[in-house]
Order: sequence, then structure tokens, then C-alpha cells
Amino acid sequence: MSKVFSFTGSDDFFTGRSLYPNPKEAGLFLSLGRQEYGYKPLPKRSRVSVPFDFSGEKWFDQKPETTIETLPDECLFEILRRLPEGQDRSLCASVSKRWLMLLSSICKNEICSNASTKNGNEDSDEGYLSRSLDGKKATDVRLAAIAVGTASRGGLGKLSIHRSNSDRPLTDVGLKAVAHGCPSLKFLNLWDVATITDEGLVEIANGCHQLEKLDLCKLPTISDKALIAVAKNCPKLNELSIESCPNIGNEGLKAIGKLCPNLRSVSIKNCPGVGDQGIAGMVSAASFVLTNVTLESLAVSDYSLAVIGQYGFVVTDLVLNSLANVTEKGFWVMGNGRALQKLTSLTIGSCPGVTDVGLEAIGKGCPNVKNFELHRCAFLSDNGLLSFTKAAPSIKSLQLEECHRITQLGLVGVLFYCSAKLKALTLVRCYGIKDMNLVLPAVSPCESVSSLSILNCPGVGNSTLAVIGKLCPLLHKLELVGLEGVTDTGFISLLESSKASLFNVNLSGCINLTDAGVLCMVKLHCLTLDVLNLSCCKKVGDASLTAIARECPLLSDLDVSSCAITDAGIRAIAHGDQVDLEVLCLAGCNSVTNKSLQALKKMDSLQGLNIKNCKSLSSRTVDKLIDHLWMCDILF
Amino acid sequence: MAEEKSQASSSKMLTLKASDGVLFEVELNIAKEMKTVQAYIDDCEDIETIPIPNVLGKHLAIVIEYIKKTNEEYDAEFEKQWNMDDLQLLLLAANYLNISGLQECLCKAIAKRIENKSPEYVRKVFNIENDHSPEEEAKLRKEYKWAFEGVDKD
Repeated sequence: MSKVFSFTGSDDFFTGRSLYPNPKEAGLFLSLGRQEYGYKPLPKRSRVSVPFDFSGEKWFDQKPETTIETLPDECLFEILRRLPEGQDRSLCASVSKRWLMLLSSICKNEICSNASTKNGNEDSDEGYLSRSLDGKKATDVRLAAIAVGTASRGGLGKLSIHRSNSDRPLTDVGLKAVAHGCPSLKFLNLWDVATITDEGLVEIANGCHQLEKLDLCKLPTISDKALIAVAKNCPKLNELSIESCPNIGNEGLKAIGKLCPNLRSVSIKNCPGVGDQGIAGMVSAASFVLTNVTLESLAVSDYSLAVIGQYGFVVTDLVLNSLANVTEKGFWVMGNGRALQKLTSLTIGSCPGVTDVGLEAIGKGCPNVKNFELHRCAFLSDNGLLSFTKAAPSIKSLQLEECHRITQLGLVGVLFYCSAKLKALTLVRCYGIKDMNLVLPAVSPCESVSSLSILNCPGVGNSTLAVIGKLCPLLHKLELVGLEGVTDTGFISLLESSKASLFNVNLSGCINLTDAGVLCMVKLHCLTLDVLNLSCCKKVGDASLTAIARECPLLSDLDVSSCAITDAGIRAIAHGDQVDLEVLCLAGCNSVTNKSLQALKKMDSLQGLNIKNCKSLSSRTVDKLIDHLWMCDILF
Repeated sequence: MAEEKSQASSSKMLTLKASDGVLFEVELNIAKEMKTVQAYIDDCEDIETIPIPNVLGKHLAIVIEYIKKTNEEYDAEFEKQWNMDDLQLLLLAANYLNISGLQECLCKAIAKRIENKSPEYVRKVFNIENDHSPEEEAKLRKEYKWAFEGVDKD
């Protein structure tokens, strides 16, 4: 009767699927007639010894313990799978890490609970919840906990992960947990996580078909494979943003363009693997839906711009930054493609291809551009700016930043030749704009420009202001920031030319302005002044404050940081006519002392008060202020 | 001889030998419910005694009884008789012998028994060590705060 059977292992015995291969669990199946088994001592009988031949593994040494821990993963999985959603699954997640990870690996459609739980679970998972993990908190266990916990509480809709814990880095396991437990996920942001791979993202694509917005930044391990999976499985994708992912290339983008019928907004920055094929492929395939396109620091050439110019039928917002390989021809062709009829907002920065010719073509070819910004353009000359202004009939807001070839002539030209639609003109750090002794012919002034901002253009002085004053008499908003060459003379001449009322004035950093200039402004525009910024105007003092207090009833926002004001000025404001002063900034005013406490206490309409670096205010005073002005947000 | 065996399959008897030496005679069609045993038979047709080294006699008896009697009513009453340890050992047996019906019944039973119980209770009853770190535990409690309401007393 004693037969020795040699039995070769087959899959029937060990039904796969072990997340955490642990010989301890498997030991129970495969123990070879060990004496210590079960609770009771074994009766003394001869045993048939049956060697099971399972390749390689030695199961002999395991001492079986009869706890649920010795149940293999697949048994535990079957048990946990039968727990109803919600409370019970969350309680079991708290039992141990192994239980948590097993729970998180159960897909939604694998849960079979009793009918006692609420039916129609589909509706309750709308994706209301939002979670954000940063650095130390970003671990697989945390993601698993989120996946299990949000499942029946409205579902996870938005997930942001920034960096990952360095000791227990985030891996694909965490992403898989999200893929299984959060089918309602709509937004996913993944920034700077080097420990995940394509597999994790592919799982998410397979599990989260509701995905609408995907933001990938600094992910060195993610490649086209993940993007293709997203393209195939997430038809609702409407916003895609990829930055600094060196392994993403053209194939991924082409797939997205082809397979995502709702792709509205795309932003691709600093991906060395992306070239013309990808951008052109994507833009041409999505040409009837794509409205927002941002391309920055890519090795694309004129060809991509040509395709945008030919296929961008519904593009409304276009941003092109740091495209070093695009030449003048590219911009010319883009303008002449004639497809960009719906373009309303255009920003171009650090593109060496922007020349007079290119810009003029754009002006002609994109007739509906309302907002135009040009940054760091070294080649645009006054003539080019002029031709552009003449060619672009719809420009409402024009901003030039670090375009150093533009001079006062260019500025005058814009104001003279602009269409009646130009409302706002902004110049930032344009070093070429210097005072010139221009004799202006009798020209009709520009009646449409109502907002003028000149920021940190060191060459701008009184004569430029005089010219501007003549050309823009109807200003409502005026910003002259950091213009050290401007003194009262220039400012007053501008004010005297203005026929309309100023609402919003920013003179911060114009260190050579004094009370005289401010008093003139108050005299002329007292009834309409709403927002006034005089910060760092070191020569402006109490006289200005007194005048403002007396004359400007509508003033709601006043900034006098680092001005030469004292307690007298504060007292004047406190007793002033202002109906509704909401924001007052006194940062760095060292001559404002504790004596101003009473005056400040009177300002009960204040919603924001900034008293940072007021060295003469004691902490007792500050405390009293905080107590008294309890409705006000005080920065100290 | 083999043909006779398969034709008279309903009356052919097999012997199953539990880990503690207890012998059980069962009909072939009952034994075939245990897919592990089925595989054994398929491999060596003329076997008469099949060793089941992982399952104690008392549990094997229960399993065989289940296979004989299983129906909806029986299932409903079946699981109530056993304590938690027995349920687990039975599940291990059913898993080893690969009897899907019994596995499902037992899994459901165990799941029902841990419904609405606190994690401490579950750990105590099953002798599980809590390997969550204190911070993780705190975060879990915060995330699942709502889940801890209305839990059965230990």
C-alpha cells in the first residue's frame, strides 16, 4: 500500500496572484508531512510520505500558525472583496499595511457586496473629492489609503502629487491603487516623481476613463507608451500639459491628437524629444477643437508654425516662447496661413525669428488678435512696430517687454497709428526708450488709450512724459513705476494735458517726485481717484496725505510705503472725507509712531492694513490694533 | 478496467487520507468536486488512496459533508456553526482542495463576521500585528474618521 508518488506541481494547487510572496503562507499547502501541524498532537501512525516536487522552493521550514495572516493573498482577497463599500473597507484598511494594500488592489468591478449597501453606487462617485500629496506625504501607502477611503464618499476627482518621499518613494503600486479605486478621477497632476514608470500611468489610463486634465512635469521615466495609453483610454481628455519630460516624443503627441476628440488645450514645454512631427501631427489632427496652444523651449522649426498657421482654425490663445530654431520665415508663413482667424490672444517671447517682416505678417494674418505681448525681442525695430500696429486692426492691449530697439519714436508711432480699439499700452524694461527732443507735429491725440503703464524703463524722463501727455489725454489708469528720471515738472505737464479723470495711479519707485506733483494730481483728479500707489516715493510726505484726505472721497486703496509720512499725515487720513478706505499700506514708514494708534483705530472701513517694518510701532500698539480692528486683515 | 471505472463512476469509491491519518471513503463524483483531487486522479488513474497532507481529519469530514449536502439552505446554516479559527482552516482546506463553491461560501461568511468591527477587534481576533507606522495610523484615522462612527463595540 505504500506508494510513493512523485507529483509534479501544477497551477491548480497554487492559484497565483500573490502580491506579497511570502513563503510562510504558501507553506501550509506544501508542507511535507511535518509533525507539528494544527493544534493537537498527531496520533502515532505511520504516514505516507509524498514528496511534492515544486521546482526550487523549500517549504519545509515553515511553522504554520493558524491565523488569518497565514491565509494566502488570494484567499484574503476573496474575503475582502466581499466587504461592502464604505465604512467596512475603510476600517479594514486600518488593520494592517498588508490589508490596506490588498484592499487597494481590488478593482471596483470586482467588489461583490451584499445588497444591504446602497445601490446605484455609480451616482455617488462623481469625483467630488480632491487630494494633494507633497514630498514626505507622497507614498504608496498614502495613495492606497486615499483610493480606498474616497471610493464611497463621492469619489476622488482631483489628485496632485508633488515630489515623493525619499525613504519610501512613490511607485507604480500607488498609482495602481488609484487606478483600481478611483474611476471618477478627472484631474491628475504629477510633478517631479522619478520613481514611477510608464506602467503606473498606463494602469491609470486603463482605470480612469473620466480623465479630463493631465499635467505632467519633470517625469524622467515617462515615455510615449504612457501617453499612447492615455490617448486610447481617456476620450474626455481636454487639457494636456507636459513639461520637462525628456522621454516623451512625437509618437505620444500624435496619438493624443488623433484619439482625443475633446482636446482643447495643450501646453508643451522643454521636452527635447518633441519635434515638428509631434506638434504638427497633433495640431493638424485636432484642428477643429484645439483652442489653446502653448509651446516653449522646444526644438521645433518653421514647419510647426506653418502647420499652426494652416490648421489652427479655432485657436484663440497662442503662446510661443524660446523657440530657437524658428526663423523669420516661420512667423511669416504662420501669418500667411490664414487659418488663425479666431486668434485673440498672442504671446511671443525670446524667439529670435521675430523680425519686422515676421511681425507684420502676423499682424495681417491674424486680424482678430486683441491681446498681444512681446517679450525679449531683440530685432523688432520702430518701423516693424509701426507696420504691425497699422496691420493689426483689433489690438486692444499691447505689451512690450525688453524690446530694446524700440525708441520714443516707436512709442509715438504706436499711439498715433493705432486703431481706435487700442485701450491699454504697457512697456516694461525697454531700455531703448529715452528722452528725445522731439518736436511733435500737430497730431490728433489718441483718444482710445485709457491705460498706460511704463515700468522700469530707465531712459524715460520728463520729455517723454510730456509727449505722452499730449498724445494720451484720456487716461484713466496710469502706471509710472521705477522711473527715476521723472520729476514733478514732467509729471505735472502730463497731468495738465489730461482731459479725462484718473481712477488708478501707480507712481511707486519714482523717487524724485515730491509733494508738489502729488498735490497737482489731487487738485485735478480728486473726485475720481480710487487706487493710489506712492510706495518708495521718498520725497512725498504729510502734505500729500493731508490733501488726499481732504479731497479724495472715493479713495479705497492707498499705498504710502516708505514715504516720508509721520503721525500728522495718519491723523489727517483718519479724519478725512474718505467714504470707504479699504486698504492702507504703511510698510517701512519709520516715522509713524505709537501716537498714531488712536487715528488708526478710527479707520473702521479698513479691510487690509500693512504695517510691516514700521520700526516705531511697538508690539503693544500692534496688539491693540489687532483687537480693535478685528474685521481687518493686518500684516505686521 | 479503466472503462469500467468511468462507467460506474457514480458508485466507485475513493479513499482520502487526512493529515492525521484519518481515512474517508467517498464516492468518486464527490471527490471530483475537489479539483485538486480530480487532478490527482487524472494523473494516475488507478489510484485508490489519495493523501491530503494539509487538511486535518475533522475538517476534511466537514468539507465532504458540505459537498454532499450543499444547497442554498444548507449554505445559509452551514457557516453559523463554526468559530473563526475553524472557518479559516476550512477556507485553507477549500483553497487547497480547490472547491470553488465552498470557498465562496466561507469567504462570504468571514467577510460578514468582520463587517462593522473596529480594526482593533479584527486584529485581536485574527492575531494580526499592526504594521502601520504611528504617523500613517494617525493619517488613516483622519482620512477615515467618518468610518469609525457606529462601529460595533468590541
